Amino acid sequence: MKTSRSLVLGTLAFTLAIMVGWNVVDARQAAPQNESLANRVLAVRQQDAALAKQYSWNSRVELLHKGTVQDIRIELVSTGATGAPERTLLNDTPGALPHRFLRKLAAENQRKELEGYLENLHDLAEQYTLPSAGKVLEYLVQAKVQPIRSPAGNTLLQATGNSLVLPGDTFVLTLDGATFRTRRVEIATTYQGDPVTLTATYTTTKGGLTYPQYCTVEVPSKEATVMIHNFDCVPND
Amino acid sequence: MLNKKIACTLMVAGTLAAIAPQAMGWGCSRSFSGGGRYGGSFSHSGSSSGGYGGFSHSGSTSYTSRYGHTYSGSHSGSGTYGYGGASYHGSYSGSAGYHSYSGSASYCGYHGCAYPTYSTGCYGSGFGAGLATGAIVGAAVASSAHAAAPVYVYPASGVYVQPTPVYTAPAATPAPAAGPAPVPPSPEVALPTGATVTVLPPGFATVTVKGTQYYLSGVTWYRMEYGANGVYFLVVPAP
Repeated sequence: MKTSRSLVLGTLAFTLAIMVGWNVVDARQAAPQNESLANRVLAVRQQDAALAKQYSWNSRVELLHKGTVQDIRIELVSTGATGAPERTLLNDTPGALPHRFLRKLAAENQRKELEGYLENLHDLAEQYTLPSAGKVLEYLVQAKVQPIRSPAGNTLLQATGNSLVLPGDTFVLTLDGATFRTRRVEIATTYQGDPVTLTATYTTTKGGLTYPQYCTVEVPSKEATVMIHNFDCVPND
Repeated sequence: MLNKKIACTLMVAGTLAAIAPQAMGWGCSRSFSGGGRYGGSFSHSGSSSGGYGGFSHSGSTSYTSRYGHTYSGSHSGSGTYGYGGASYHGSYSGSAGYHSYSGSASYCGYHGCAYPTYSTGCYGSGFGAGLATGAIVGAAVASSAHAAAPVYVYPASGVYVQPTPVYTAPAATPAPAAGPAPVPPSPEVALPTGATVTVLPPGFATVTVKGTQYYLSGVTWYRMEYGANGVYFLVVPAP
C-alpha cells in the first residue's frame, strides 16, 4: 500500500500543480508571439492559485490494473498557507488479492511493481504541469493556437505543442476564449518506452476557481489506469 | 252360435284394424351427453312423437368447449309422410357464445331438395350452420328420436378480391413563366475593416501569410486579437 499511496499522491500533486500553477513568475522575457495569450493564461493561473487557498474538495483516486481495482482512496484536499496541498485521508479501500498463497504473493509483487512504475512516472508528469511561467511561455510560443467553435457556439482556443518535455510528445491545452480558463488538457508522451496519456477536464466553480474535475492517466502497455475525480469543491468556512 | 262369434271377432278386429292406424300413435324421448375428442362436453335431449301420416320432433343441444365457451341450440319441426313422399318443416335457433342464429329448413322428400336458410348475428357461426345441417338430417330420418352430436361445418374458403389500387397523380406543376433566370444567393459581403467579432463564422479557413495567422470566411479576412474580455477577431484587409 505504500507504493499505492505514493502513486496517488504523485498523481494528485500533478493535477494540483496544473490547477494552481506553482511558481508563477513574470513573463516579460517571453517571445512576442502569443505573449498576450501567455500573459492572460498566467494571470488566470495566479487567480486560481489564490482562490485555491480558500477552497477544499474531495478527491477520489482509483487505481486499476487489467481492469481490476487495486486501490481506491478518498481524500479531503485543501491548500495550505504555503500553497502546498494538504490531504486528509477519508477512506482507503485496497483491492482484493487472491486467497491462495502463491497467487496472492504473485499479485502483491505485481502490484508493487506497478506502483513503483507509476511512482517514477510522477516525476515525468510533473514536468508537464508547466510549473513556471517560463515553461508556460516556452510552451505557448512554440504551440500552434487555433480558434475552434464549441458546440455551444463559443470560441475556444486550442494550443497544440510538441516535444515540450520529451521528443515527440504532444501537449494540447484547450482554453475558454473569453476567460482564458483551462477547459481541457491532453498529454501524450512516453515513459521508459511505454506510451502514456493524460487527460484532464476542468470546471469552474461559481466563485471562479478552475480545477480539474476529472483526470485520467493511462499506461496501455502496463494495462494500468489512474482515475481521479475531484468533487464537492466548496469554499472553506 | 259359432258364426256369431266369428262375426263378432271379425267385427272387432275390423274395427280395430280400421281405427289402429289413426289412433295408435308413438312417442319417445331420449337424452344423452358426452365429451368431445378435443375436450369439452355436450348434451342433447330430444323427443319425438308421431302417428299415422304425421310426426313432430323437438330437441335441444348444448356444447361446452374446453375453453368454457357454451354453445346451445334447439330445433323443432313437424312433418307429414305418406305415400309418395314426405315433407318436413322445422325451425332452429341457438346461440354460440355471444353469437346467435336462427333459421328454418324444409325437406321435400322426393319432390325436391331441402335448402336451409339461416341468419346469424355475425360471421363465424359455423356451429349454426352445423346445427342447421343437423336439422335437415333429423328431418330426413323423420321419426328418429335421437339427434347426433353437433356437426361442425367450417365455412367455405372465402374469395378475396384485391381492390384495384387507385393512383392519384399530383397536380401538374405549372411551367415557370418565361423570364430571367433565378438569381443565385448573393455572395457574402465583406465586413468593413476594423470590425470585430467574438466568434468566427462556421467553416472558416486558417491561412498563414508571412508568419501571421489569418482566418478567412467568404471574402472577409480576420486576425485573432486578445482583449480584456477575451479573444476577438479583427477584420483586416486581405494580406
